[in-house]
Amino acid sequence: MIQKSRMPGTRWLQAGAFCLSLLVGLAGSSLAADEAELIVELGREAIYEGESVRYRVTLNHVENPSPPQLEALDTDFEVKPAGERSLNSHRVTIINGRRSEIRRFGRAYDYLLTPRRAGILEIPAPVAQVDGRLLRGRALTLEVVAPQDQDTVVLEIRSDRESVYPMQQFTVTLHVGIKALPEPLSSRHPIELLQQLNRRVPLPALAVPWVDDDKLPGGVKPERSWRKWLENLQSRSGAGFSLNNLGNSSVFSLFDERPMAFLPPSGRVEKKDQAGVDAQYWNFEFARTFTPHQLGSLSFGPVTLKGTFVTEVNSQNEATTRQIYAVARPLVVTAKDVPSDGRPKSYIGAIGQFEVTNRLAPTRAKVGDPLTLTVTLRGQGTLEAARAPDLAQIPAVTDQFRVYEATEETREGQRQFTYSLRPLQAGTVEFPPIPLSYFDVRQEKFITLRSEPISLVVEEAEQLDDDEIALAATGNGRRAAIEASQDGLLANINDPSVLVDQSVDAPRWFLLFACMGGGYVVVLVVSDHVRQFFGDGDLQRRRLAPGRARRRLQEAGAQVQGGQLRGAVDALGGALIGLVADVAGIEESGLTSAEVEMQLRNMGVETEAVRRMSELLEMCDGVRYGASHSALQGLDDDTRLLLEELISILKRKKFL
Amino acid sequence: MSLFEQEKSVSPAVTNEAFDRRVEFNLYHPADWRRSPACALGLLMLSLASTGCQRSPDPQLVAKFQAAQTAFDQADSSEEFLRVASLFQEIQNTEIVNGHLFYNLGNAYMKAGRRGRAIACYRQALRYRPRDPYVKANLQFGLGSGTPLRGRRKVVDFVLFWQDWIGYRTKFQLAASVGAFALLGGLAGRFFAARRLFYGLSWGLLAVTLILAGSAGYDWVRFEWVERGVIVSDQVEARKGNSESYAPAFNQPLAEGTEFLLLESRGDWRRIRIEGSGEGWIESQWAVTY
Repeated sequence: MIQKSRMPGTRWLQAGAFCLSLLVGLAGSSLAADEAELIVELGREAIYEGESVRYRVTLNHVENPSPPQLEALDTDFEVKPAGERSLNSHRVTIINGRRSEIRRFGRAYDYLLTPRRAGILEIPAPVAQVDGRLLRGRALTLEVVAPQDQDTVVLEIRSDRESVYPMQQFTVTLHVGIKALPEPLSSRHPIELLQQLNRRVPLPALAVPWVDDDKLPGGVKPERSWRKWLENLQSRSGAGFSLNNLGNSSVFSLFDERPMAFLPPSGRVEKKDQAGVDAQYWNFEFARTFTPHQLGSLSFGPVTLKGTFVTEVNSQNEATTRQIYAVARPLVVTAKDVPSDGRPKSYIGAIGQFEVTNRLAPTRAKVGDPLTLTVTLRGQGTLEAARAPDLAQIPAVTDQFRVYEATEETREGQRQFTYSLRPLQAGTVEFPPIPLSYFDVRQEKFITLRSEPISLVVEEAEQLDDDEIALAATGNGRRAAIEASQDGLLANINDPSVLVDQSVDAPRWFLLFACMGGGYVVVLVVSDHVRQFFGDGDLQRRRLAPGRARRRLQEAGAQVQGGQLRGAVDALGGALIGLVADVAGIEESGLTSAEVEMQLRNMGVETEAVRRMSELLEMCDGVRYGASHSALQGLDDDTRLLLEELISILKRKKFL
Repeated sequence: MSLFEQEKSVSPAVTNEAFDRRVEFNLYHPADWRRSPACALGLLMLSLASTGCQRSPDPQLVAKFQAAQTAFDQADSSEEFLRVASLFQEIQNTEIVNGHLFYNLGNAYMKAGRRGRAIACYRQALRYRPRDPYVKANLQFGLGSGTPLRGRRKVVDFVLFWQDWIGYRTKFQLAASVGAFALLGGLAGRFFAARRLFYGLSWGLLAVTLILAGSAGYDWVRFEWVERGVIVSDQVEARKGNSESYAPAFNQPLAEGTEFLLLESRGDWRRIRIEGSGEGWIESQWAVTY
């Protein structure tokens, strides 16, 4: 344990000497506490033979622990790991401003020890390697009580086979023999009788390792799950054995979960008792069937039984009961490999019972065309272990077909081998039967299956021109030594830069095309207008006429202000005449008022406006020669009004 | 530097395996370009103009692609290749549509022994990469040497003989690019002195645009409006009607990889037409359509 303390402020300085001495003392003690240690603990001090005890090895104050070495225990114990957990922790506490930080490192390893013999056994000290040095724990003792020397209850584990092949079923049976009661109760069922005598007597408790599916020997699968197996053994009367203390909860026994009772079929058998005398026994059989899936030794047991049994009945028919503990020794069944003698070449590694089918497609092809041969293996057994038959080793196949490597696949309870083939010659050919051997566990011998022959029609392939052949003839007319192979796949593309989206939204593209066409038309129309404007002098003159006339009016106004009366009058008349000349597209100079009037009439200008125009022009002529400043002011205003009116009329008439 | 080294050095993106395959096959890739150099040059320039602003691939997409490719390289059983196919398929379904991806997906199916699905993928890859010799070679391998890559050609196929020279999307891109140049040429003819030259050029480009747009439209119809499919299981019995009770439609079951045209769907049954053989009904589970 690492303990760190930090004292805040000056308060502690007042306790100087005391703290110093305390810290020195603590440092000394914490150094001692931080030393790595190996602690061993035992669940119980005494057990019956056949029972297991929990054994814990804790490596304390070790940052990088490694599992302890327990090889020394193998002599007297069977050691099974039962899990491990980390003890690492980090805790910070602050009390009265004092901060304490506690770190702990360690790891606890749990084991189940099953003694191999009875007596007072020593559990040797475990050893662990920690940071390059050996850490040793302490040795413990365990009292293993041998089963009582009795013949009232006899337990035995048997198997219908001592050795089996993988996938070959075998049955392990626990025989529980209970000595029949003396007369007059000899015909009474000993278990049911016990329950009738006293219902509060606990059920005889069996501890059977292979009841729990998770604790079965490795590589073994039960025929049925433990629930389904025990379903048929459950006792309706409540009299029977309890199995691994399996409980039975109900709404009426909310706080009282009592074990379920199991009672297998029973019968009476005769066997020798302890004294060597033939005696009647009630025999109960718990049989469970397993299938091995891999090679090795499969250990079942030990099985223990604890319970109260009737041993004697006196003359007053009073029963004497006795607590009995009985053990059945473990049984080992060997899962062995299939025999090597007589193993056929076509053996594909499958064990069980199978049937084979095959399919070839298409059944009409040309030379060199790919054909797919599918060989399917169905049945019960080691399907996953089945290898594809090697067709390249079958001359009848290779003479007629080029064979490529098969793919293997297991799905829906069948193993499928898929071959790619190419016929080498034309004609009606028969794909030969494929021999395929497996080991039949029922008959305990190799069985060779043969697939059905398949007829197919192979036609000649089309001839290619020279220029279509990848490596054509060389210059001297001979074929090239190296020819292009047409078999196999070309490699994947693995350059990520090609990963551009190539999806096509065609309607949007067509909309884009339409927009482009529409845009072009719009640009054409606009450009036409622009070009027409800039290329037509008359049009430009017409469009610019109002502005020009207004500018001349402004000039006239400036001349009036400057006292140039004659020039102002000329400008006023010029503005009106200029407007008409620009719109009509004629020369302005020399235009008379009559000609202006005629032009306006030709343009369809209203008579009133034409009349006013004539009057105004005549007035201008009059004022030019006898002008006064006040008369000119009125003329200027009238001209301005008429000009705007004329512009408005001409615009309306589409001349501007 | 040997010839092989020279060829390797100019295509660093191609793996050694791919390179070896290419040498082995002596594919007619360069010959394709020689057949129509002007076309190739024009396509190159125009596609550069039209595709120059494409974005670089999304990093997440690249990571998925590389993970799928790594799984492909490590796979050695049909189950594992099927898992790889599902990775490529996931990218196609959720990210982008791409001819290279279809090609890789087809390879994964081919390695998994699913020839029918592989053919469907190669066919879709050809839509986007119609001149790709890799796709053509693997499709030919899937179909078998006796089966031509193209079925019976229609009149329109002879008229639009260039149809399989350019990819589906590229046709639209080229049509838009060339069309833009045609319009610019037309406008230039109206404003600049070399009017006849610009108008001539513009009319020429407009004709090319119309041809490309028509070609793209034809692709749109045959890819988006016409559904095709491939048989993905062996020995599929086509019936004369949409149930098992009808008599077989053909004199033998359909083999995996048989291609067909989808005519009609009724529930789980599909009416199909096999070129040169006739029509029949199959259950949808035995085929993939695209």
